[in-house]
Amino acid sequence: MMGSRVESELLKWTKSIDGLAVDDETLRLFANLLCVYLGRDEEDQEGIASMASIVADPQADADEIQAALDTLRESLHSTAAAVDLGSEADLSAEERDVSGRMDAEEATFADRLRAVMGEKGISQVQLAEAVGVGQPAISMMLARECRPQRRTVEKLARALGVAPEELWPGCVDQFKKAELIRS
Amino acid sequence: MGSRLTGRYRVRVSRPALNEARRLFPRVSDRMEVRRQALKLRFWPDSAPSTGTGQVLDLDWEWVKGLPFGDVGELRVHGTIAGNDNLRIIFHDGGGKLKDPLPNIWILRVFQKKRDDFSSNDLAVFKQRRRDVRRIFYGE
Repeated sequence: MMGSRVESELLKWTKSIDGLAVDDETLRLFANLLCVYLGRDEEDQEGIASMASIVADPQADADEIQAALDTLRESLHSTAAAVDLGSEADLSAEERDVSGRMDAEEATFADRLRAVMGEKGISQVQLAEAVGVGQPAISMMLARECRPQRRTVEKLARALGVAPEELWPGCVDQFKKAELIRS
Repeated sequence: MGSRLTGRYRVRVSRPALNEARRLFPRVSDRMEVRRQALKLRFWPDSAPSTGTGQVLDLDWEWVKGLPFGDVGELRVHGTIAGNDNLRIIFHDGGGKLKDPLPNIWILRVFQKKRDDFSSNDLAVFKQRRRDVRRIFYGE
């Protein structure tokens, strides 16, 4: 009935739109998502459109595109869900195990910090000033409520005139490992 | 430093931020390290936020310039975790409208900052993620 050129053109028409691969399934998905979009208020629509623009922007880098895709997914969701970071109820067995090890590291660090401060006769306020943090930060470290950054351990050690290892056993190995991964 | 209800805020992570943290830190130990750093936001801010910059315990924070809200900040994690340096946690102070029982502070984005300034695309993503939190959890 139809010439092969027409059939070929029709086949192409059902599989792509302006060079983009779009079959019926993809088009159905687009129609559903478009309905979600049209159900949103003007501010949401503007935000969704701006994320779509980033995804389609040839100048955008891979990180920006991925961030826009993650955002787009959330923007099209109507359900509420978020993780409470402070709750340990949702942690896996492995995560709880790591968390326990971290607690132990922080306890050792707090004990050692308290001991060295006592030996050197340095108050929390003096140490905080020397390190460039507020006194509450020192207080929280001693109370095991603040896991110090690597930079903070180094600053504390310098201010107290001890090696970082004396405050945080194994920290030099951990720092070197982190640097190796980075390089 | 775990589930004890201490601090001034309940720290919650949006799904996009959680997804990117899992991508950025496939190892559990690295993810838990970032979690502990992010949990310092429970004690935000050490000083009055009106200054626009300051410290949360031993982390530095600053409001994100280029956004009009005055409630989206950047938390800087120094050092390297899983080969990623210049780690940034973008957060949103949800304000006092929702308290359960503490007000919420929201983690909107976790990423490695590779430029001095945020690009217009970065800012658009922060803005939209804040919008989604306000829409989904605050009914705005």
